Amino acid sequence: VDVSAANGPPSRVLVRSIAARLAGEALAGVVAIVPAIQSLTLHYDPRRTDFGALRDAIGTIMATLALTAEPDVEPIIIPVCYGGEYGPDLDDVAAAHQTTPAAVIAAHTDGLYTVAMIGFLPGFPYLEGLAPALHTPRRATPRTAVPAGSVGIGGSSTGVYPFTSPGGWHIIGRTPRVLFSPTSARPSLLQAGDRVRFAAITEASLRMLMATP
Amino acid sequence: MIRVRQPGIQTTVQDLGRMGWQHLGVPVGGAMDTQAHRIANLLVANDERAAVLECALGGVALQFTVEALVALAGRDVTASLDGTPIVPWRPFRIEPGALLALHTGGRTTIAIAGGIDVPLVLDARGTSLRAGFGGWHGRALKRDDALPIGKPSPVAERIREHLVGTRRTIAAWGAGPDLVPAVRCHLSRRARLRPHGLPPHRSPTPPHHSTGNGFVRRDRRHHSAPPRRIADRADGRPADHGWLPSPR
Repeated sequence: VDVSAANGPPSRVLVRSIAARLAGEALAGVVAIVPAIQSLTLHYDPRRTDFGALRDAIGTIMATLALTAEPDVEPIIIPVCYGGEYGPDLDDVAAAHQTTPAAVIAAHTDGLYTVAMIGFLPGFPYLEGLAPALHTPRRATPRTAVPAGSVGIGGSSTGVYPFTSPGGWHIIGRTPRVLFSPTSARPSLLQAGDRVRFAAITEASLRMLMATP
Repeated sequence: MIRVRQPGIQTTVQDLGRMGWQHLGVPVGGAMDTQAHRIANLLVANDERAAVLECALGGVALQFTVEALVALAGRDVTASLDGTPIVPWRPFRIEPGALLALHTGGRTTIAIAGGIDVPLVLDARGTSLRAGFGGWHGRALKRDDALPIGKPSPVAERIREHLVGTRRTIAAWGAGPDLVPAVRCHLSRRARLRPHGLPPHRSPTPPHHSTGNGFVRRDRRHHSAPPRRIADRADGRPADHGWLPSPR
């Protein structure tokens, strides 16, 4: 379901509303409802339903859609140690915007972010709300390994790598928070629609928090 | 229990994937070759979703500490059991202490009756390598890993007992191209191994016949007829299993 061409409410609100409605209707044969930023994907078992039936069901839903307001929830605080060995690209980001690392940190911790979607890696949040002054294109050469907990800026998004992975975003800091724990009842710290704030911590705090799981 | 003697390039525990968690960024993953996965499981009377080992290429050696019923599936498989060549797409039994070696293959499924008994993580048993969870401790197998095997189904036990009773190692029946067109790739691969574990130089490729479904089949004269068939065609005619390599 592609909502990128829709007029009116932001696509995130549309996607969220459609997802909520689909979850409520529990259509037969649907095995996964996956919200993205401007679209929503339904995975279905072709032995139990078919494309036509789902297309019709979605048509009905779209025609009678009531928008789900974004909940006014308390933001989840993600502590971040900025710069140094944990944020090797902080200086580059500052230089790219002709400003200082301290100003980048101030702008990044100032923002109130919304999780647009979770993707790329389990628990990886694509966060909307990055100050335009911090929008930075991806690195010219991606790293083959970015450590788990790395906080990055890529284009107009910011996010946190839950696992060590290849990555092309500018890494400005590191959080000790675990973003994804597969054996927990609520595996992902964040879900689409959640609010997030970053808070600067010292390197000593980071080390202490990383040592105490 | 299965003791990993040689893990090969990348051997992982896989199933048919982790559905329903994509909204949290969890990839579905699972078997690369789902047909091979499902058929190998069915050959050892497992649920088709049971956890198996999936091997990339070859160089894998597994020692079994218990009796087991096993099936291999995949393309271009050459394997041996205690040095005796063993063909894919049929169940065979393994005695305690025996060494199963996968010499070459593409992505090869090794299904064991009872399945690989690893815990469910997010409703699945497959390995998510990037995120490091599921399967065997979230990683590819290493030398000396010891994998637990689940309880075989009653049908699997009957197959194994039948093999014991008829003094066979490998069943006289299996899955064929009427189930999997890709099976034809194995047809004339006579899995006789040279001492260093490489497949023999093959004789010139036999002529290929069109089967009318877009696939080609090697000349059946190069193969013996099966003693039993396990599937009929959709049009009601008996399945043509002339492709089966002779049991050995």
